Amino acid sequence: MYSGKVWALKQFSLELGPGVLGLVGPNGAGKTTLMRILATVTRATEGRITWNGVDTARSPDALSAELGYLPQDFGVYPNLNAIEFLEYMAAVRGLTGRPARRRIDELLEVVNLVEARKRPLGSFSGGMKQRIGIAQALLNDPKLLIVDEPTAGLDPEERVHFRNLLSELAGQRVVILSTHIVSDVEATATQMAVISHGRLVTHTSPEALLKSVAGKVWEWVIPSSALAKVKESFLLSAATRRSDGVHVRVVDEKSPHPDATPIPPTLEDAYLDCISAHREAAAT
Amino acid sequence: MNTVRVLYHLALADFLERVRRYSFLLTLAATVYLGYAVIVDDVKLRFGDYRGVNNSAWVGLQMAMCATIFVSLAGFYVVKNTVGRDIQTRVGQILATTPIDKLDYLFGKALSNLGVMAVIVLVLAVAAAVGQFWAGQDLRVELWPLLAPFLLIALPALAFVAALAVFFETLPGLRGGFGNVMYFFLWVFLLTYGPEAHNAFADCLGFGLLESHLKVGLYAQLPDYHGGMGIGILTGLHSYKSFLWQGFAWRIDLVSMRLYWFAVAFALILLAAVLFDRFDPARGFLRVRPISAGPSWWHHLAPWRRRAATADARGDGAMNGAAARKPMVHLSPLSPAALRFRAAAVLLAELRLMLKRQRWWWYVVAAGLLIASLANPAQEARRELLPWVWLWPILIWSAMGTREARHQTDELIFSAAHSLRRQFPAAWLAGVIVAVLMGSGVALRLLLARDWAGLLGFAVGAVFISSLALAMGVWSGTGKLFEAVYIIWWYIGPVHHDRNLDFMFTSPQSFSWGVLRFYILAAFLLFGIAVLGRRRQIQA
Repeated sequence: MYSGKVWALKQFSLELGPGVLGLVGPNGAGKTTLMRILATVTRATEGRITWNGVDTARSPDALSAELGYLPQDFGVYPNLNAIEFLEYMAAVRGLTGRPARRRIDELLEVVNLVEARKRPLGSFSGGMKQRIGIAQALLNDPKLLIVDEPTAGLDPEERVHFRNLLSELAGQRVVILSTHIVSDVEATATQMAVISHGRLVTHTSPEALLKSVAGKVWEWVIPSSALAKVKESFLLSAATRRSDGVHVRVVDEKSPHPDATPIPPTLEDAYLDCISAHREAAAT
Repeated sequence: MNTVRVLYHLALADFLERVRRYSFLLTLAATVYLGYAVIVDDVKLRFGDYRGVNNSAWVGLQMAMCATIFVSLAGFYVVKNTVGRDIQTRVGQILATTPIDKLDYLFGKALSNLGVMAVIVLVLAVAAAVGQFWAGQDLRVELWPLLAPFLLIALPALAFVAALAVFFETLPGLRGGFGNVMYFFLWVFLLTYGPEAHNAFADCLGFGLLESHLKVGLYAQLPDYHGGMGIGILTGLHSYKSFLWQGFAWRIDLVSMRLYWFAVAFALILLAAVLFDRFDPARGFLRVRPISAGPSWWHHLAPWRRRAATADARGDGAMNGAAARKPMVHLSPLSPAALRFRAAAVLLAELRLMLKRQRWWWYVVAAGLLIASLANPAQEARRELLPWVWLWPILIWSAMGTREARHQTDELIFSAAHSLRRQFPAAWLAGVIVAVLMGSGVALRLLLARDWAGLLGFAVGAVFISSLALAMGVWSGTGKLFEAVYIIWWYIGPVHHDRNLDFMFTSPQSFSWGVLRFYILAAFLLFGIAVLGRRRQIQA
């Protein structure tokens, strides 16, 4: 709870095992707060988080020794180069000597920064800094990897590369991926948690979430002038302008228009339906 | 009209942003304490053996002079972050895209600076009125004699300081810690040169003007009067004689001399507007060195480094396109044995972090000081050189405890296991090592001279500096507090050999077991305070 009695997270319960958990929700839903609490950076005013049965508030070091964390906003020391920064972070995380050097070399290859390893970090682009962030999160071979908006600032190729890496890492560890980019979750997550207004809306598999909107996604073509009316009346998932008009994609129980045809749902359709249903339930 | 509105909103937003901070509350607390100290006569103004009867004119003058001294020094450090904050928060990049011109922007910032300092002066003006009742010698409150020194002595001086703070912030070289240190020397110059110059146009703080006019009155009233003006913490049971002073006759020429400083302030803002880069480091008149994508200077020192540098310079181009085509690199699992904490590794990492940001000339000067220390006899090195040897790394120490927040690496470091027990003591010890390395010439001289007391004082000084820096950095979140406090302490203690404040024990006379014990205790207390502060940050 923030000062002013605003709850960032409330009635939130979740149990996780190995795999990638995609954490999605609208802005201000509480995703970053949850990540910070899980990473022991913020202490919850109430409630309990356990890691292998140990309360992380009481013994944060039990978790942090096995934690890799990439915050949403982070910085680097601009006068150090990539190797020096990772060596510093490795020392702070208790990894030194030959194993540290070998790990850093591997990580620089993984995040594709070998060529730039001796450049001062102050000269790095946003995407390169993000990749350094990813590398430092993996330094200690974490059992729990928490990444908050990890693909922000990455170019499409690097994003694909990172998604593959996450999928590979997920084998024997818990990965929590918070993002606004549903396609990242689609590509990597084995489980999904949707949160809104600090509450857990659903915790399920992407397949189950997709199944919940099967037969509820419709598409048809409308003139541009009718777009505003469709937006008002239906839950619009996408609108694409083409030569024959605007192709609208709508999530609805019933066929919204005589010309509408049912189409296979995407995870984004399912997410929008889930959030919309939660908002309606909260309003009534 | 539009410009006035822009200025008003710019200054108001900046003013509100600052007065709503915790640090401003602390500044107000210090101000109230100063007001109290003047009221209860701990801080006083005197002319030779004379002090004025506590009427409105005298209490107003005394408080206004204290306000001018205090706010012109502390106020500068309080307000010198307005442009810097826009750079740090990246609001500046948004402002740079708006039609506001550089002069309007900087003038608004200077107005906000003056507004913040004016609030402090207002608090002290109220304290002056309270002080008149407290003293109880003359209960008639006369507003003009009470307030005129605040309006015509303090405010013009502070307008100059407000503009100077903006000017410092527009020059990349003076924007950071170096500017903070330089200002102290400038302030000492303003404080001492003004009254001595006997020229009102060089007397920013107005003390020369006050002294000369008050002395005329004193000579007229008291033919046997002799002595100079003194203000500060005047201790002892000295009994002062009283004289009646009814206030200044503020003639137009005197008022003009004071208003002249508003014009100087405006000229300074004009100059700052010429030099200001408008948040584009590539465009500024005096450009800051950007962090080059090329190799650092020490890469040129050895052939093998040059080869590595050439390979690096070829680097970045191949990165992006190759990413998707590259085969997946698999990470080898780490054995639990690899994750074994080594204190020496963290200490070395901290030391490297501290020293890496220094430019080559910093090392040249440091080496010069080291050689000079070795070339001089022990007592001379200790007395004359140690203060300068331990002034040189001030910006290294002032970064302690603030680096994580400043570079936004706090979440990365605080989420590491045992961060408080491992990284934090290493950072403190690295600060001590910097002090020992810098002063190693003096220490060696003391060792050769078998001056064990001097060596002990040296060790305590090194530990005290690091503890002070870390505590102030962690609790203030900025290096400015340490820079300001350290330089003032350094000037009074080690430079002027004030026995109680000489934490470097620069002479056998400054060394006593009592003072030594005090600094040992203070060092451990400060380290404890720093640990508490860091614990609070980690558990935030």
